[in-house]
Amino acid sequence: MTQIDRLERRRSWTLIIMALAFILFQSGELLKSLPTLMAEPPLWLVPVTLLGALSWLAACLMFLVYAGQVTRHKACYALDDELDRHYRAKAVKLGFGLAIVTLTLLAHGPNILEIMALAMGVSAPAWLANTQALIHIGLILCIVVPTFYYVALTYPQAEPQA
Amino acid sequence: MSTANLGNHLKVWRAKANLTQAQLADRVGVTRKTINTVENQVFIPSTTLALKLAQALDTTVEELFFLTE
Repeated sequence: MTQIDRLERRRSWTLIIMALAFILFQSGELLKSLPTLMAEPPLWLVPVTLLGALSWLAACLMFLVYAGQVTRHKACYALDDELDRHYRAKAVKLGFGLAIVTLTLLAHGPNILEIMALAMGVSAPAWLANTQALIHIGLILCIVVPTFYYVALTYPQAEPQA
Repeated sequence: MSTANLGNHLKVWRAKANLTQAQLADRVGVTRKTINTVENQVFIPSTTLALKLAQALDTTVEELFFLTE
């Protein structure tokens, strides 16, 4: 495995850890902001959210350390080659598409579900009223999904035998 | 308008030059994955990269790349 492969692998794992820490952090924040689902937030939510926030902070520091190592490396330009820029553009495109779908669903989805519930003679689920939580879920997805997609595209594989 | 795809003989020329993907990648300043995706026709390289590859393998762009129908 070459030095560049090692740096690429490390970048992938740093991004995975960052995304997981972000999910933990934001999920805790999301659950706290759901009074319609929970009358009172459970006690375990506070340490979990704190752990999420701390791991998010640690992951950001890890990324800064990684970035520092990459810029010092003589072959750092290879990590930003045209294939990498192409994959980055694909991930951003996916994130943009997800954001548009999320916004469209947020704008019209709750109304459609309410009308359907009314037509079926049942009451609409309580979480529909919590638009802020839905936006929060959309935000988490729009950040995490493109990150994992980028990692899947760029993760280095073993060199095939000629 | 016809739809032409880009084929290449990169693997053959790399083998002729007795280079691994990693060594060729190092010569042209890209990652090994870039060489791999170009060889497997997953990624179409830019003109600059095509010229660099030709130069590194001591050949011409026309020898390395061709259009397929």
